Amino acid sequence: MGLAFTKIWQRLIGKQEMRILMVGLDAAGKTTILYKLKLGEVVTTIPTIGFNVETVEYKNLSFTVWDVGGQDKIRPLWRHYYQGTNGLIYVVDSNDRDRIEDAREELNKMLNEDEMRDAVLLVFANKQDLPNAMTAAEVTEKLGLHNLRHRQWFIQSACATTGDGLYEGLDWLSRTLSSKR
Amino acid sequence: MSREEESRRAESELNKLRKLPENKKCANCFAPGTPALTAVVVPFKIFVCSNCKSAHQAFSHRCKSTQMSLWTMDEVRALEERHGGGNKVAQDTFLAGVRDEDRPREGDSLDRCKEFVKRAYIDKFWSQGDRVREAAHQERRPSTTAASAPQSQLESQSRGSGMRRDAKPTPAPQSVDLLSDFDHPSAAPQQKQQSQQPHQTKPQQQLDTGFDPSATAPQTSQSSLGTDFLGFDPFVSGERSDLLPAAGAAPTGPSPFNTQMPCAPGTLNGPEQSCGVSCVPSLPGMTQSSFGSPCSGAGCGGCGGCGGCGMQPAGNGCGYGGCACGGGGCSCSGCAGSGFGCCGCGGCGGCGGCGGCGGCGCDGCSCGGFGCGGCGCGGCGCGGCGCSGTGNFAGCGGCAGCPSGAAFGTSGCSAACLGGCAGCPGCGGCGISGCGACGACGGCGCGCGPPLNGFGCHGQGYGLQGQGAGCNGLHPASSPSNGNSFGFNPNGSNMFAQGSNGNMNGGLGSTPSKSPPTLADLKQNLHQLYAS
Repeated sequence: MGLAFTKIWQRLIGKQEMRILMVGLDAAGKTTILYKLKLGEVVTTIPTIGFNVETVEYKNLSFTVWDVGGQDKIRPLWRHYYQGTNGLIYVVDSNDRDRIEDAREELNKMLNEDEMRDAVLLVFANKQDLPNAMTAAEVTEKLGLHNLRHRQWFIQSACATTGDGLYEGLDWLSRTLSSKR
Repeated sequence: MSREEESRRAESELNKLRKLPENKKCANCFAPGTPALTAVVVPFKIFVCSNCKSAHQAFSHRCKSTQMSLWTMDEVRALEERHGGGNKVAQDTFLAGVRDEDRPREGDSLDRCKEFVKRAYIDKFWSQGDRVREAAHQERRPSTTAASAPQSQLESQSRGSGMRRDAKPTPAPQSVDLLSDFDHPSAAPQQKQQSQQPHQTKPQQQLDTGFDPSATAPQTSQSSLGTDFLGFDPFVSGERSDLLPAAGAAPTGPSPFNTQMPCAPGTLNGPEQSCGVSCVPSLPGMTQSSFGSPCSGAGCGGCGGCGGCGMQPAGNGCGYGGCACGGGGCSCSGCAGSGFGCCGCGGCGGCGGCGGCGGCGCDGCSCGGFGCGGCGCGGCGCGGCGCSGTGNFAGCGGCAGCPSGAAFGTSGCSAACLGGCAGCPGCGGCGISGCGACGACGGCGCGCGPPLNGFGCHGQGYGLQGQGAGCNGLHPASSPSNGNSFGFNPNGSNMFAQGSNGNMNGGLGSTPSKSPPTLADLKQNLHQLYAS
C-alpha cells in the first residue's frame, strides 16, 4: 500500500529513482566521484570497506549511487549489490596500466552475471589529470568494450578531483535510462 | 584455491614483517600503527599510515592493504629487508637525508604528505646519492636554517632544485633526532591547525583496522569516526547513555552489538530486529575475529548476503562481525522474509539497499502491519522525524529530522528527539571528554568550542555525511506513508545529514527499554551537566 502511494507520488512529481552501482578496482576513485557528485567537493577518502551510498539528483532522475569497495578481498561481495541495478558505473584508474587487465577481467565477470543483463554501463576513465593517463580510447580498447554485445555502454574520461566529465557521464546515464523506461 | 592458500601463507609472512619495530611506524611520518600499519606502498616497499598512503595514491603509486588485498609470496618477500624492502631500508635510501622537520607528522594535511612524497620518492630529494653531496655541502654551512624549514617548504617547492639543495642543512647525525622528535610529536607547530582541517574527513574511517583480527581495538582516538559506514558512533552513544541515564540503557546492555542498535531488541518488534548494525566490526569490546563471528542478531532476516564479511546469506545469519553489514548485502529482497521486512534490516546499513526502501517502503518489505513501526521510528508522533506514526515514541530510534531549532517538547522535537540529538556526532571531536554540553545541542550548540565549518562541533562533516549515507539509507525515521526518506533527500543539508546521524547515535544508546525519559528528566540531566 505504502509502496503504491510512493510510486504514484513519484510519478506525479516526476522523479524517477535509479539504482546505480559504482564499482572498480581499489583506488580507482569511486568514493571521490561519489562525493564530488554529492557535495561538489573533494573529500579525503580512505579505502571503502563495505559501501557508501548517496542519492544524487540530476535532471529529473534521482540516482541512488552505491559505491562499493574495490579491494581484492571484498570484490566477491559486489554481486550482492547487483540485484535491481539499472546502471553500472565502472571506474577505472587511467593511470594504472599494470592493472587494467584486472579491471577488464572484473568487468567481464560482472557483466556476465544474469542479474546485470539489463544494466547499462558507464565507464569513467578516471584520473585524466595525471600525466601518463591512458585516453578514453585506450581504456576502451584495453577493457574490450567494443566486444560487448547486447549492452549499452559509454565511456567518459573524467577527473574526479576537478569534477571534469562526471556530469557528462550522468547525462548519458539519465538519457539512456529515461529512454529505457 | 591455490591462490587463496598462497595468499593466506603470504599474509602470515606479511604479518611477521608488519610486526618488526621499524615497520610499525609509518615510513614517512612515523605515525604508529594501531597496532600495526595496514598499507604498503608496493613500488617503494614501505609500510605507511593511511594518510601517507592516500598521498602516495595521489601519485598513482600502487598501494595494497595488508588485510583487504590478496598477496603473493613474491610480493611479500620483496618487503623483506634482505630484498630491499621495509621501512628501515627506505630510511637509508629514499629518506636517507631527510630531517625530522621535513617529515609530515601524524594528523598533518594530505597536501603536506603529498608534498613530502613528491620530494622524497619522485624528486628523490633525499635519496642516498644526494646524501653524500648534501653532507659535503653541509660542512661548509651552519645548520641554523633548520627551524624555519616547515614554513619554507612550500616556497622551496616552487624554486629550482638547485635552490632547494642549497637550503638544506646537514642530514648527518639524524637518526637520533628523528626518534626524539617522534617522541614529542605535539611539538609540531602545524599539528593543531591541521587536525581541524574540514576536508580531512574519512567517510569510512577505521574499518580497515576493524577487520584486523590482530587489532586490539584501541580505537578510542578515532572516536567520531569509529563506526564507519553505518554511521553509528559507539563512543558517542556510550557517552550519551552516561549523560542521560534517564534514557535507559539498551536492554541487553553487555552486548556491544545491542548497545549500538537503532532498533534494540525488545522495543517494537522483538528480537528479529536485533541484527542489523550489530555487524559494525570495530566496536570496542567486540571480538575482533571479525570474519565469521556470528553477530548477535537473529535478525537481518537473511540479508541477501553480508556485505563485508563475505559470508553467504544463510537464513538469519546475516550478521557476522565484520559484516559490513549485511547491509550492502542486504538488497533487502532477503529481508522480506522476516516479516518485519526492512526493519529487520533496519540495521543493515542500507535498507537504502532495498532499492530505496525509503525507509521500509521497500519492495521486499513485507512490513505489512508493522510497517514502519519496524523502523524503530515506531511512529513517534514526532513531526521532526517525518514519521506520521502513532505517538508511540517509545520506539522512536530518534527523530532524525529534529531540526536543531525545535524546542524541547514541541511536536517537532519530542523528548526522544532530544535524546537523539544528544549524540551530537561532532562532539567527539571537541576534545572535551563526554562533552556534556552536548545534551542540549540540537546540532551542537554545545559549549565545547566554536562550531567548525558550520558543521557543528567537529571538522568532519563529510565523514559524517558519508556515513550518513549508510545511516540515512537505513535510517528508520522515515515512514513509507510519506515516501520521503531523509537519507535520500539530496537537498538535505550537511547539517541535516548530521542531525540524523547524531540522532542515530542517540537512538542507539538510548533506546528506551520501558518508557522514554520525561522531559523533566532530561532537563535535569542537562542542568547537572552544565553545572559540572
